[in-house]
Formats: sequence, structure tokens, C-alpha cells
Amino acid sequence: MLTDNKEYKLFESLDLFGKDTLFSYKGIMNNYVLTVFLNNINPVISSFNNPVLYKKIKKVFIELTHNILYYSEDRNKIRDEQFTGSGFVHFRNNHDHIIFTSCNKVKKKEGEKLIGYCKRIKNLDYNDLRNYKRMKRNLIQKTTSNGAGIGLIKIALISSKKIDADLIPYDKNFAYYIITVKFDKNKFFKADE
Amino acid sequence: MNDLIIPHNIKTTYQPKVHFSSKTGECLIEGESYMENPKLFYEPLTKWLNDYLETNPTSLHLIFKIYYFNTSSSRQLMNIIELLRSFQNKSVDIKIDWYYDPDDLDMKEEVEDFIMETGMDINMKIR
Repeated sequence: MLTDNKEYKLFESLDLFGKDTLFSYKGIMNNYVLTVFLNNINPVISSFNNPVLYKKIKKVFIELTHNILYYSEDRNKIRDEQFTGSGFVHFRNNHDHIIFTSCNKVKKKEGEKLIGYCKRIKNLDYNDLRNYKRMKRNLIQKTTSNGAGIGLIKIALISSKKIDADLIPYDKNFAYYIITVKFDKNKFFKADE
Repeated sequence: MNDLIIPHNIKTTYQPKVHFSSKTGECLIEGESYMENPKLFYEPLTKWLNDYLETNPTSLHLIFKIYYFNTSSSRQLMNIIELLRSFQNKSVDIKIDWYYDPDDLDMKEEVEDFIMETGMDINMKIR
């Protein structure tokens, strides 16, 4: 459901209704919804006959949707005292690439930090990124959060850093945080590619 | 002490099946792990392992056949491995095997990271 003009402009920029769109979804994120997504994309990504790419796509997709589930500022009550994040995911399959976009509302200041964080991740080489992941996981072990706080690093590692983050203002306090991950369908035919 | 068994359920494919045997000390976690609240799922496993190790068994063999886990599950898996490490020098023979697909280098690196982070020996085996 398109709820306001700003969201509409955002969706329009993604060519939401273009022929490359395999599916898009806006709403609450939970594992029930995730299972429906996976069942829908499985036949498509299986048809590439590339098991390495298949695994990578699935992993990134789960991390992106869980990122919304844990961290979106749009929260919906689903059971007695349980809340889940809501947001938007878009999955495109064009000639050469698979492209995921996820979008959720964040506090503006938090969003600006996340953009800087993404830039930092992209500037690290592979081994430094692995070290950074271990260091961050070690720090978060001491907190009570459900997430591990290393999803973006993991996505960067899996996708060979084909990740971009953007922020679109919503109002004076909030913004849309958008993550795009791109996979070249002609790569990853070997595990170490 | 009772065994801990969580069977495979087609409706909850996001959580692995579990079979911890108190008779043999052989403990298996198999499947995928990307539940919404991993702490809820893994805390009983960690508690069972702790209780079992407190009985001073001669050995414990933990077998991971987890083919995918999300980053929030990784925190709980770390807790389990760290728990086992804390009992390593208490005359319990602890062995951990981790099976992974040969085409899944991301998983291989995840296990290598667990080894580096915890200092625990994990035998990496191709599925």
C-alpha cells in the first residue's frame, strides 16, 4: 500500500512496476513472510544453475529482511507484547544482475551514522572486513539486543562489497534507509570466485 | 538426565533439528538457523550442555551440520562454543565437528572465524 507521496516517489525511482521486478513487498517482516519470499525466489535463482550464487543470494536476502525486522523505526504489534519492524523489499532480476533493495525508516541521525558505516565497510579490504566483523561480534556479545549488529558487514563479505546505502529524508526526525545489493549473475560459478 | 530433542519441522525450517544424547554425549545440531529470536531457541541448548558437562562426563562430541545461520544466530553459536571451551581443561574430552558444503566458502570462513574468536579447535569437514 502506498501511504504517502514520498514513498511513492521512492518506489517510482526503483521502477517498481518494471518487467524486471520479481516481487516487491511492503509491510511487517517476520519469518512467515520471509518463507513466502524464499519460496518465490527459489525457482528463479535455482534456474541459474549456480549453487554458489544461490547460497549467497539467500543469505543476503535473509540478512536484509532481518535488518528491517530488528531495526526499523516503523514497528507493528503482532502478538501480545511482541513487535516487529516493517519496511520494504524489492527483488529485481535483469539481464546480468540480481538486485535487492531494502528500505526502512530510521532516525535521521542514526541513518547518517549508518551511511558513514557503510562507506567505512566498503573501504576495508576483505581480511580487514573479517577482522572488523569478529571485533564487532565480540563487543555485541555483551549486549541484550537480538541482532548481532554485523549484518551489513556480512552482506559486504558475501557480495564482495557490491553494497550501497542511501538515505532519503522523510521528515525532520526520520529518513528512509535504503540498502542495495547487486549480484553479477555471470560470477560465482566457482566457490572462490 | 534426559536427552534434548527438537525434531525437524517443515513449518519451522528456519530452526535446526537438535538431538543431544546424555547416554553417549553425542550432540547434533542440523539444518538452518535464522529464527527471529535465536536467544529463545539456543538458551535451552546451552543450559542442557552446561548441565551435562557439570555431571563430569568423560567426553562430549558436538556435531554442527548447520548449512546456514544468520548473524544473530552466530552470537548464540559463539556462546555454545565458548561454554565448551570453558570445560575443555576440566578433564572432559570435548570434540567439535562442523560440516559444510564444499561450494560454500562463506560458511568455511565463518567457522574459521569462530575458531579464531574462541580459540577452540573445530574440525572442519566437507559434507
